[in-house]
Amino acid sequence: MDLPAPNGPEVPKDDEMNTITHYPLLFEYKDLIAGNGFLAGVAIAGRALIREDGEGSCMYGIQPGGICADGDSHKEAVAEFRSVYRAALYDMAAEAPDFDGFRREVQCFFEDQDRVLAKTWTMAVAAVRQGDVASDWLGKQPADSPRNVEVVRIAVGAEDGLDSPAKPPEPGFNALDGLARAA
Amino acid sequence: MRSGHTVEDKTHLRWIRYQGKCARTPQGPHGAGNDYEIKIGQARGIVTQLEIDLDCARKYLPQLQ
Repeated sequence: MDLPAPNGPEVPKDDEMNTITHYPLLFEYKDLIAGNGFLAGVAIAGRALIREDGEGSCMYGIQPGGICADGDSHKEAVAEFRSVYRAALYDMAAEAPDFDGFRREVQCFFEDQDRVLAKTWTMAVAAVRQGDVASDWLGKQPADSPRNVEVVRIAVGAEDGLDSPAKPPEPGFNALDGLARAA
Repeated sequence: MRSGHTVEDKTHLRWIRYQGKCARTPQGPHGAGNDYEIKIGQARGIVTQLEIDLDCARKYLPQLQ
């Protein structure tokens, strides 16, 4: 058995030998969000990182940072991440007094990057390019594709030059998908 | 975590702010105020997003790799 040379690299402990794979992702989501007296369209092109180990998958937002989602598989983590992202927008819409406040909050959310995992994301891109990570389940897109967020007001009422709607928009219109239930 | 952080239960997520950064976690199946146990992956996300020293965090959460 080869022993590590004195002052050489430490032999990894068993738990450190648990294989960890990182997948660098680019995502694009579009949502229609109801706020206090406004309806907004939010289109985002962001970056995320999936970490897979023997215990499951976790998808971390890089830009925007500050959200993540677990799953038993990468598919579950991706679906849960989508839901958490939408929930974050709903929270912002519920508290924003008006459209401009909501747009500012979404912009801050987008700019609050996870700078620690951004480095891991860059290393993961290099690993994919070198063929060290099998990512056949993902479509391919250049890593330097522009990332941005756009928040636009959707015309719905008299102040938008339209006939007043029967009911003005409110955050209560937003609802996350629920689990199917037995009847 | 050093003092200065805030935790807010919003309508859907729990918002944790620290030194100008914000991490958001699910509140669990029963809404705000419960003792929902977050998974280690989410704990890792909070640590990195809030830029908490990883070695320091490992003292309290040895599961963090």
